[in-house]
Amino acid sequence: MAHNKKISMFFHMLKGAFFRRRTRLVIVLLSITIASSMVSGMSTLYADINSKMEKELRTYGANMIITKTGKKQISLGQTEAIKKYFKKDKLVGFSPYLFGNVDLGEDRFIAVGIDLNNFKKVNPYIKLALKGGSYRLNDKELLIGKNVSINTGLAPGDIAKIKENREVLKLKVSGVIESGGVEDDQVFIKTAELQKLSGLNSSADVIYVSYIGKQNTLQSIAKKINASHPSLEAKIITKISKSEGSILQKITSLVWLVVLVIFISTILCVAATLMSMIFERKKEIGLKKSLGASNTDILFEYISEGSALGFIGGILGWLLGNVLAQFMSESIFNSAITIRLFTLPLTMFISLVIAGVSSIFPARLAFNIEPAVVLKDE
Amino acid sequence: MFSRILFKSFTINLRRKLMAIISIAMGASLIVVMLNLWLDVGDKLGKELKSYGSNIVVKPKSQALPFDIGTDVDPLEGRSFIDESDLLKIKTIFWANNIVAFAPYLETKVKIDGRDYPVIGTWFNKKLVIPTGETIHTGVKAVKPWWEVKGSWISEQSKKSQGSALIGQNIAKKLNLKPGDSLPLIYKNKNNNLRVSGVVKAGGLEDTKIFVRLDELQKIANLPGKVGWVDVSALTVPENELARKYEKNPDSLSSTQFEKWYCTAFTKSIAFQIEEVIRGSEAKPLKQVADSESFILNKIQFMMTLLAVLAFVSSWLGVWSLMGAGVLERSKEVGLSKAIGASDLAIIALFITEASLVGLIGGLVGYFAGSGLAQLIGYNVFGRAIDIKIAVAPIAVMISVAIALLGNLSIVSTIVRLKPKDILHGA
Amino acid sequence: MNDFNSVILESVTKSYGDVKAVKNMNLRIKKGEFVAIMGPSGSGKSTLLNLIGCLDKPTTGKIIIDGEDVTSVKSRKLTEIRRDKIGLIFQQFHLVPYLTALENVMLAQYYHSMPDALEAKEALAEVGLLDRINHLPRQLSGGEQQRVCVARALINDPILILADEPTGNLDEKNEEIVMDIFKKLHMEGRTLVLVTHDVEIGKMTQRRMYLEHGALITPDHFASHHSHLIKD
Repeated sequence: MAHNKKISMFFHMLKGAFFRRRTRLVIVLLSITIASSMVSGMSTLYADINSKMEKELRTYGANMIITKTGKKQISLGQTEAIKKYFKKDKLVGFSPYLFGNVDLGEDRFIAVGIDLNNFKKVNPYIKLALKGGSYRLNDKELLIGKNVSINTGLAPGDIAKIKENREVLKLKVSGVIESGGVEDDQVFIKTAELQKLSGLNSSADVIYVSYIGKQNTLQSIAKKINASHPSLEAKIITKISKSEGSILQKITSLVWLVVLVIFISTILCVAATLMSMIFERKKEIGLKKSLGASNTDILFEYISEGSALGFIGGILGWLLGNVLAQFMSESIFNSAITIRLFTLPLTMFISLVIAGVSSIFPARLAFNIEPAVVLKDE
Repeated sequence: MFSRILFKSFTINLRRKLMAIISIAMGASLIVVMLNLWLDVGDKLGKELKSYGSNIVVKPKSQALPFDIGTDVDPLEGRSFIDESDLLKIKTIFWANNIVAFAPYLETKVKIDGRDYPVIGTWFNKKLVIPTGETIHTGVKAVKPWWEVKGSWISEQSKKSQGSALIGQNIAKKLNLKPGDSLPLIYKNKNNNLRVSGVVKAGGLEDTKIFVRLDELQKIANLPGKVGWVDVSALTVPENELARKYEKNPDSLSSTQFEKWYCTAFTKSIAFQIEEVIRGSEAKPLKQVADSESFILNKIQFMMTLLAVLAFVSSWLGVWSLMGAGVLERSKEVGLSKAIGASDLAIIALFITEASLVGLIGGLVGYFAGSGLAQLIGYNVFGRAIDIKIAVAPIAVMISVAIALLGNLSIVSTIVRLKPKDILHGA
Repeated sequence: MNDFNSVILESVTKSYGDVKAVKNMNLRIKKGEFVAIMGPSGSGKSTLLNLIGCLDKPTTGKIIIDGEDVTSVKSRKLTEIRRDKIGLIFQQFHLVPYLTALENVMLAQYYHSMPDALEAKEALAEVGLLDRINHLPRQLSGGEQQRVCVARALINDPILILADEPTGNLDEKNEEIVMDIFKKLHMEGRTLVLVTHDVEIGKMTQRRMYLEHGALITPDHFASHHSHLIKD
């Protein structure tokens, strides 16, 4: 019963320290909140950066290629079987290509039978050459490479007569595409239509795959495919995959280091602020000591204040940090962050430690404060 | 007298001043780190992205790039070519320094064991003396850094490499060949023999090809000094509004705009300059590499910008709150000064001078600390030093002084309005 | 004999380096006395007060407070003694800015034994501040703040009340109010020691001690050497 009075007075003092010191409190709370938001935001960002960057690097297109080892083309069944080796959420693109040699007017061109959606996903850099038309491939339509357009004079909207051996197809040019590479010299039609033209039943000569994963992941998938389909060869496109690994590692370590620097700098600033604010309360410490407070009492009071601040600041900061990380993720990667639970205890821990330690140091200096000296002033 | 007061005022409470300087230095060093990284990361990453290979392809005008789907067509029949002698001029264009490497190719087919195999003549690591007198080494080794060769590369400079070939790993497996073996083949009904110098693991369609010295292929095919197409790997800057304007319609640029475009290392402008020096050629950005590079670099730059802003705001808020924390202690000094008879102006002048000094010292310390830290980061991430930009120093100092002044001014204006009596007799 | 003395100093010296602030002092203060310690600044009054108030320890000599030898006790014990037996009032009214008048008084109880709002209220009533108990220091006048300090000094029922220039920062009116409180306390039988340089204040006390350069001097000596301190 008697003990309760002491406890309630303690909380009275704590409350007073909090709510009646307004500007002081706001400054300190702000500092801790900011530091905590850096901890929470940066750790969320860092945890995400690897996977988000990996996804962005798929802009380079296919990192795996599956070819036939003999003359026998890839069947539809094989295509579907192979697809199963890839995890759905990591498979960015899976595009079978069927090749044929066709005549367009006087010239011979290579025709590629594709599904345009899949094609786009493994060649995200291929754009419409800015000459009108649209980047689509419906039935009875034809996409042509820029050089084909230049050579034949065909433009979007024109009807082209494509011939392979005896078969002839009349297709409308839907658009002209450009890549700077071999695609500029090729024409693209729907796989079914190329099959009709060439009289073949097969699904593909080659499959390009764009998959989010490191080199060893890709390698093990390739091994599995090769083991179960001896007539096929799955290979990593080293040029793409190898570079990806090294770039990813550099970007991640760059972000990590920057994040660390921001972290530490903010924390140090906050600690300095808290310490200097407590230095100002020398008089208060001297007064309390003159009233009979022991060093332990003083220490306990300030640590409690610091901890309470650390707790509140930590929670606010955690929330703010997630908002910040979300903002950055949306603006840089156009995707949302995943709120990682580990950041909460991490933030709270650091917040409490900063606040606690920052309270302890000046409080320990309080040990040396002689009430007489401080109270006599100047 | 003023300087004496200043000195006294500065050294009194040195601890407080020191803490102010240190915290400003910390804030400044963070700014310096971010600025240095921000300015340099595009360059450094751009160099790293060269590992993706060439971003410009040069070929004879209106000529298609070879693409073999297994037909009987002779790749060299009826084609036009580029002159090998023009290639040196690539290193004389406006952006010559941005040309990292280039390699020419000439492709044909040979028969081995009754089947057709593609053979490409190229430079592996050829020594060249360019018109400026400089010696460079360039070729496939530099353009395709991901190639792994078991055995040994072909060196154009050694006589030993004559008649050697690098064969793709698929061919090596199919024909059961290893380095040192000999490879008999038939070209245009003539028998020939190559020695396998090495097996290359290129990863992709190149694993199905045979690579020989360009001059040897030119001799056999009777096309001396001719080249089918060229890969160029150049350091470029990402596309911006100007580049996009040119893309849409080159003629839409005014002459000043065109000059600016020409003098900016866009992939398109470098390609344009290459076309200027190689007769009858057409140089085009390889979108897969060029556009992706642009995309990634822009993204990284943007990310660095956001991080920099964040760093700036957070550290300066920290510094500001630290300055604000010292209000009460300064109020006594002010009260005393006023009681002695100092005018408001004198007090303000004192605070401003002090703040400027603190900002200056803190800013300079921060500049050096930050530069050092940026270097550490640069070495750690890229294995190379960051280019320290001197321009960062005045920026860091100016911002530091500004913050120091701002931190003090708001306090001063409140204090200056107080009456000395209140301060001296108050609690 | 000792039972009648609240404070005994025997050959007490306090040095700060080479400077002797208090020199070989001997004094006694009886229970219930209202004593003034007077002298110009630098005379050692504050040092003496600190010694008596258990805020400091002597370099040599013996100090006995309320029959207890406090000369060489540990700091912690000294704090306890000060807490239990002595009430301190300073020239600068030291109050915790974020606690009300009531809470400031209760603070003294808190470190002593148990906070008791009722007792604190009574103490504040004694100094005439019953209608101000929930005000913060910044809402109180100088005189009122000092009175809160007085209430705080009284709350633990100390055997000795020490005041260092308690009216130094107050105007005449408030000075009167505070001195009246002291007189009342004296009438209630408390031992009061007042440090002051003001002769008029000194006249309100029962006995005056004069200090010069750390040693006690006679009243005449004081009068002749420090006439400038005498208010007209």
